[in-house]
Amino acid sequence: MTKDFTFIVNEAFQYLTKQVKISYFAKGSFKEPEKKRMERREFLKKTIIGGLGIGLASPLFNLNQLVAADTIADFPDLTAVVGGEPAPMFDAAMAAMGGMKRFVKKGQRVLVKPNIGWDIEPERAANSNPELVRRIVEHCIEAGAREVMVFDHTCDKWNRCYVNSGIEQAVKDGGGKMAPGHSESSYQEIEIPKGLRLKKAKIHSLVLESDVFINVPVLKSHGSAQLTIAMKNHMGIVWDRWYWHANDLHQCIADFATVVKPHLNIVDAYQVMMQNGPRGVSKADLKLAKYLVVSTDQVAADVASARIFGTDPAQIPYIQRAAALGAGEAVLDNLSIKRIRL
Amino acid sequence: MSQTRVKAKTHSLKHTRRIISAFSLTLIFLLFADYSESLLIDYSRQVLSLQFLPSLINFFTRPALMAAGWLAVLILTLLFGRIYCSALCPLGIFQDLLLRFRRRWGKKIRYRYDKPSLWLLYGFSGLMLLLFIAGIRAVLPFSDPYAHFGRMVVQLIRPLLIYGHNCIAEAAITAGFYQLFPVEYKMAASASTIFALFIFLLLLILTWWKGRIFCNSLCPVGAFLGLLSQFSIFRLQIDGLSCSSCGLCERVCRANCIDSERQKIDMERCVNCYDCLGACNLGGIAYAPRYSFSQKQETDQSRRHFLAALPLLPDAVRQIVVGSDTILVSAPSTIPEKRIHPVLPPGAVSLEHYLGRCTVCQLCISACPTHVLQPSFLGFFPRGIFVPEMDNVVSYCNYDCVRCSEVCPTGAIIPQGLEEKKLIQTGLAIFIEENCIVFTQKTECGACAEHCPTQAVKMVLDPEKRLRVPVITKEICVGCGACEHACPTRPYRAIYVKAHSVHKKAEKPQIKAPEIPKIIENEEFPF
Repeated sequence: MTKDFTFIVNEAFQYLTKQVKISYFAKGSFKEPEKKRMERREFLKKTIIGGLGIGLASPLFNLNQLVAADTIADFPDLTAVVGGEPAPMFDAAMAAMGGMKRFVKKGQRVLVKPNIGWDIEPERAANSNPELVRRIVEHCIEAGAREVMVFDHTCDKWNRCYVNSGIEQAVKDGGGKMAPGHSESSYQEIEIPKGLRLKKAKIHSLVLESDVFINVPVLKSHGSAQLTIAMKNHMGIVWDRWYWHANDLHQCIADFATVVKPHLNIVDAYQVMMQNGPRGVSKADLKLAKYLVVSTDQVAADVASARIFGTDPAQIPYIQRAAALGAGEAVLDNLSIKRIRL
Repeated sequence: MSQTRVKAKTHSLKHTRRIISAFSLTLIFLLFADYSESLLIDYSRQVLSLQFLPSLINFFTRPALMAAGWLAVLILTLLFGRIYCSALCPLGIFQDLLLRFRRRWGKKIRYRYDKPSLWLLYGFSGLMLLLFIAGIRAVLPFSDPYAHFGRMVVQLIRPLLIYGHNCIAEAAITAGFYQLFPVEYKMAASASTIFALFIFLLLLILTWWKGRIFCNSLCPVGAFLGLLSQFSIFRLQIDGLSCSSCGLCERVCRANCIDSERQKIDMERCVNCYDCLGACNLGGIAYAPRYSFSQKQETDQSRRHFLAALPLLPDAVRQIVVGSDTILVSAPSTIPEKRIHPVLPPGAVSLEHYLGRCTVCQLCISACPTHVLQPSFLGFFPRGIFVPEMDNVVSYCNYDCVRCSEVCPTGAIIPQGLEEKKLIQTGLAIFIEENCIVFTQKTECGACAEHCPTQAVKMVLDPEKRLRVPVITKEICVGCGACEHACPTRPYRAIYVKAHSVHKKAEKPQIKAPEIPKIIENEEFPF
């Protein structure tokens, strides 16, 4: 009797540990598995049991490549909307992009990563617009997402940022969940094979474990990067962003963009911080631009947003370097673009 | 005379004392131990208003009726004796708690009367007072029992609570439950921890040995209130007519101040625990106004000396700098920062004001949401020791926060409105070009300006280098230390806050609207 019990416990433990390993292997696919390869049948069985059957698409591969095979050449690579309020603008953009169902399948786990860097109220637009974030979460839930997680590795104290940016409330209202980004234990090291200055980075587990990764930056001026948009927003999913500052910021941003490619980049350019960014000092820094850019290509999203800001993207080193490393398309003429005026 | 030994009853006064003291201790403990930034902290002033020394210091800083809690304690003492020591002082109640544990799990305690030998008490307290008057403010942390308790909770108990919380939170998150987040903990063990541990062990030993002996040997507040309580109206008295000198009361007296043989109670040392009332079977002891009973008058014959070689200062232990982030900078920085003393929190006014009032209860450290407030060790020495400092390596002062000034019970940090606080210049950002990434690596960085809430540090394009370099506008710098915290150079920062000894007023940043007002209606898409 006791023997049986021990056996069952042992089996269960082994099964669980295997599950964890599979989930990393199947989703992260950064490192080759150290253990021997599992038999295909066993693998399939366990993946299905583990509820991972639908999670095989790595968020770190551009979804374009996967979706492209399924047809849908009709959908634009980039949609820009001008005029109106954040939520309706997003609705219009997603309708053009083929709806959230194109990106989020039933039962998937979605990560939405806005910019929540600062302990600043929504009116000063230092963080992503909470209205927009709420609408994004709602779209994901409507598309059948099992879980919508939201986090940022904030600059100011995390809990004050979450609350005072209005994003925590917006996410809860939308049906999503906030996750912590402030403890190092949540981060795992990944390799950046194509990186020139950044060879390794500790990246938040949620990015690795989620099925869909939606990047929601806010367009702002930036003291050293000039502009912070989609690729710069990734500094909030890594642990040691100080390394980037100390080792050629522009190159590190570009290097990192070669491994992390969000399925969707949604650039909030409703209120644009034109100066004193990224934190801003007062509302006088802002301009009401009422733009929204949605793209599957983060480099293209940055290029279009830079134009909205009034800056020549050719003057921003990280955009050019990321394009050179193959992180995305910097020439908008090569992409199909949809322009909507509300 | 035959004695009937009835089981001791608990006197109603003892019940009352227990209830009040449990209430005080719980509130104060929660105030210090709470790491969730909950609502209780908003009531810290009310909770701590009756703490004698903090309230006294606060009163002399900002005389106000609300700050007169010490006066209430004085009146209470003159009326009822050392009520403060039995029901209000967290350190006293903590010792009672230790005694309770000992009674429950240890040997049965039998206290014995000690001849009053108060040379240590008065010697110690007098020394503290003399040194304080002589201008040595570093004695404050050794003088306040409330602060001893605060430090024990902040340094010893709170870390354990947070550790426990984080274990549970991490497990929950691993299991997919995102209801509980881990709590940031950024305080390394320091000399302050060792001192708190020392006091804790000292209390363990002393209570084990002789009950509340600490309060009658090493506590200046106890000494002062003891002096007053000799004149208190209500007092514990032995009724010579009923008393049989059986010694039951003496056996339970945790202050060792009942001389049952001579039927005398030394009210100076009595901490009003009221245990004796329940211990007496014969109604020979009562709590009543002065001279209700006749008393035997006798003088002391001999003195037994109380010797305790107590090291008051822990060994010099270098404070371990917090900073687990291993940052690999391409080239280590070369020029050390020049700091004279640590930065004082906004509201601390000046070195003199701050060090003259802080008893180092560390409540501000516990309450600080960003953890920029850390216990110092020798940073202010010899003018102060253990006093909280702003450690910008650990974190930086949140621009929109006045927490520390709200909780400070002594007025060492004067309460600030948010708008006032934003104009306090606690120090100035100093830029060391030779350490800066932009100059040494010739790449963009801008971490300092990114974090600056007023843009006192701003990145300005240097046309020659074609890079953006930090430029400081002194007038609007508030000395929050965000730039220093964010600066990635090691071992020395390229930008740091040089503390003001007297805080100055900063100017409000003037922001001109950007020049390009565009009308979106007629605008074409720019791509």
